[in-house]
Amino acid sequence: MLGVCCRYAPTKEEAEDIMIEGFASVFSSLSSFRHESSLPVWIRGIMVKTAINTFRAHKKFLLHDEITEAQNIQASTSTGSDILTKLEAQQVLALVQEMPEDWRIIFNLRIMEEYSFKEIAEELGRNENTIRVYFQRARAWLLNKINEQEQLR
Amino acid sequence: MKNIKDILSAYEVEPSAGCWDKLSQRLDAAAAQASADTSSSSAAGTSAGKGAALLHSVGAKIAATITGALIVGGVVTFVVLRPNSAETAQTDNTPSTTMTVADTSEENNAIPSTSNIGNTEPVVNKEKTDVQTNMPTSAADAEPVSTPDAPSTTTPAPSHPTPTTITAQPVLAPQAAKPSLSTNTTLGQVSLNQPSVLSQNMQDDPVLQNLSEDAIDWTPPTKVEIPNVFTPNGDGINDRFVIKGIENCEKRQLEMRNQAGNIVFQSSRYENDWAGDNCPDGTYRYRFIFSNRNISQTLTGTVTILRK
Repeated sequence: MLGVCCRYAPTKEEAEDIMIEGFASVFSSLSSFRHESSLPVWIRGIMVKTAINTFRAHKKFLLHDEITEAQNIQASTSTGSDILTKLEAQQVLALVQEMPEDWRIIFNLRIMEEYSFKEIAEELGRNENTIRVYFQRARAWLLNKINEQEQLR
Repeated sequence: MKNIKDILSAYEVEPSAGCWDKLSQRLDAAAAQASADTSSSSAAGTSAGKGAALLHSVGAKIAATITGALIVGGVVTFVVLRPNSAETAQTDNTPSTTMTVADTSEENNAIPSTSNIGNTEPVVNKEKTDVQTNMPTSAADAEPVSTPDAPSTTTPAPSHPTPTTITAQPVLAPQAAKPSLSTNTTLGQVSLNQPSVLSQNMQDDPVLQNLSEDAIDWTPPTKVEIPNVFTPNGDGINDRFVIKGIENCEKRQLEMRNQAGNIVFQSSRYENDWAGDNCPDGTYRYRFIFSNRNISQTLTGTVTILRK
């Protein structure tokens, strides 16, 4: 679970805070768990939601411009299986943590949790096209960084 | 070359030492809040203690599940949370029922709980949970959960027979009043720091002193099994909420509540006849208070009504 939270938070301390907050929610809403999914999956979902709430709480959103045209839809179909790398988990995570906060959350929700853009837009309260474009930018930035790192080795 | 999703999914990291203290504090705060919330609710039976107990009693279950291999994205070493010290919580690792066995009879302060451990807990080590207890349960360990037929082999001393056995499901976490909370232990090494209740109290217990051999009732303990779902759809199969073993109970009170906490059914002498009338499909909570040979127990848990 801490691994999950680490993806969302820029530092390990903040990740731990998210995890602790998440577990508190888990315990208080345990009685309403409907067993539609397995327990760890449900807990993970709560962690993600907690991370999103934390993000919303201190939004330093860089998304000042709402992008209303659907630009470059091509990249928005990526779900992460096409980004291949030789890097280790630790390195990839470090890159993810380096990302600006809003890119990171969009990237995570899309690739790891496989939210649709529509869902991400709803959760974050932004326009769907904005989300797509930011995802595309995040992805390009990440690919770039990955290439850099791989060439260093 | 692996893809990024798999790489990140497999990432594992251990929390820092202070994390567990913070978590523990946070959960205490949440429990306090839960008590405050539930105590103001109008439902009579939903006590504050129940809310806090639920919180704590499933803590171990959650912890146990988490250390299993099912977690994606991180493996966490966890500790068993302190259950509410006033209650003994027995947990199992399938999400169907959470049992709270509250011992309510005075004279059996120590014995039934220890015999419960002996009879219902073979310490199934599914996930390398190495629970060390000081209980003389070696005989009990070898037995499957549901059939302690010869009481003499399960407990070393003449004891009051245990009236209940929880539904046969592997029981994972230790049933204990106070496992110690230590930030550096993993789940697999929880040791119960209380001496064997049986040996300690045997000398002092006036009831035991006065028992003679032939006064002991050697009949096997009553087993009570409560299902976690039933289907009142007229197909003749599981159309009623049937509690197996209820015939052996002299007292059998049942309360059913819906998710909101309102009582939807109540019986002071339940006869396995509840069909969930006027209750839509969903999960309901039961509280079953029963007694057998003057030993009274309460079981609570959830049951789901499914009519499809």
